[in-house]
Amino acid sequence: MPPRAIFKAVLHFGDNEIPVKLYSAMTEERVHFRLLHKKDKAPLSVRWYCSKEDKPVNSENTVKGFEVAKGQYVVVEPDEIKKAQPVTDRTMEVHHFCSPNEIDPRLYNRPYYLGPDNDDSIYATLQHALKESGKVGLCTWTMRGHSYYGALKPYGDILLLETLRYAHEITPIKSLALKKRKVSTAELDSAIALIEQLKDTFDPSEYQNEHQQKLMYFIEQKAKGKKPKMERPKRKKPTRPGDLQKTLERSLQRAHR
Amino acid sequence: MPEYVWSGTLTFGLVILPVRMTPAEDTGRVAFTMLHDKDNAPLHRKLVCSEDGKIVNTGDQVRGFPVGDDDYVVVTDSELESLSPDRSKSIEIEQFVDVGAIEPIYIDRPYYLVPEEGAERPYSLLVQALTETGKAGIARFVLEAREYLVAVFSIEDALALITLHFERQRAPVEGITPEKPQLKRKAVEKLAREIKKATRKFDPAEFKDEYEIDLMKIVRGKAKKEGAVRSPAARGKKVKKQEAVEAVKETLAHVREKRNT
Repeated sequence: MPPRAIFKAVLHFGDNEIPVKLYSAMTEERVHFRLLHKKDKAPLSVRWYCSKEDKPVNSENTVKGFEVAKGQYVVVEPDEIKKAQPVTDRTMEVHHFCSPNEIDPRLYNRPYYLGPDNDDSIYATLQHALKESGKVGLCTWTMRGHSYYGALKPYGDILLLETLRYAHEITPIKSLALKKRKVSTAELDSAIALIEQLKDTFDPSEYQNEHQQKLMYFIEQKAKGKKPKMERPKRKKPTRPGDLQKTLERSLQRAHR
Repeated sequence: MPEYVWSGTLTFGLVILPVRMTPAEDTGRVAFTMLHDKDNAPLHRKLVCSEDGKIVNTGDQVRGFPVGDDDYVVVTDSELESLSPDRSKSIEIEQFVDVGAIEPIYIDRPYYLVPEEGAERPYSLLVQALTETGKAGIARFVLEAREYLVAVFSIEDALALITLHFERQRAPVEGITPEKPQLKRKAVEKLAREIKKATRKFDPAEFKDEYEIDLMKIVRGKAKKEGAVRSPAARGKKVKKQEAVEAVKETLAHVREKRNT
């Protein structure tokens, strides 16, 4: 089955216009449960309830409010919200290019494959030029009523577009109020030696979603009326700060074997 | 105060470090509350039984996996935890890899790990060691019904944890790859030169969510014209129009601001 494009756009960069199609690069993989009523196993559904009357409210009787003080709201109507939504013009503007390592990993949001749309040659020209330059392009576009920005890069023989989070959507580290503590040179040396000993190349295909496989097996067994055995999770005892150096040394010895 | 979604231990080698996890993304600033149109009372989402239409509280809810029509296998929280007992309370670093070796396509969501009281020193140690080596620890752990592959690395004085997609979630590229492109060497070189000329430093603060900005301008306009309404449960004085406008402006400044993360 050929992949289905979710959006069509034209990449603009200088005088270049490159028609492209967007495809999801990652599929959702999870076990879907339904919430049920414990006593009769009837599925549950979501309803809006008024906090004053404790009665269900139909969606036509709802409005959206922006809270400006505790319990006080500026009311916005749905058609006013619609007015803010950008018009989808199918233009993907490439503003400039940068090195891929300048992009903070926290910003990466959702990956899309970009494929050619009718013109394979112009697409391949951009793909090759981008690959040879080693750069990524920073683009903006609108899609489904929202404004996006993202990084465009070569990926094998195709192009990949990663949507990025806006800077104001990242929680600043200073809000964590971390207290930096002094560590000894010996401790730091041991920790670095341990990291070096446990280093490897990263191969994502080595990792399977084992929990999900176990979960599906568990559900099968339970459906057959069997009672699978249970294990309790244990909380581990933290290393005492005074034992840090000793524990690191023992870790190093163990990793050596 | 940050909101914590998980607490447990992070281990590297034999070192066991108690930590809590908090999301590194904060999208809640431009958020609206659903209100009842007639009295401006906030609305709450409730789960109701599809049989009798009555509200079902958390204690009377169970998780069911559908097997055939109207038939479910019920799975409890403790059953879920028992499937991967070691991974539900502990993030165990299995190997260290270069941060740069983690392809962004696998990145899902960002979190921070913060030390529990008393664990600040081992935490600082791991931060410093990861910074000096440029490495990320790869681990797996289970949160509620899902297993996550994660990368733990340092940013400034913090440990960041990023959840990663599994390889098998990656969609095939077959059918997307161009078939027989006519490549002109000169055209590729010309475009590569243009790319080089248009290369400069990336600053995320240059990119703004125009939609959110426009939305907040509309809210500002409404605040100016109509001011705020009070929900029946609101205490305190009714805010003046100008105060409502100021509150909206603050959020508008937040989505526009240029700042360091």
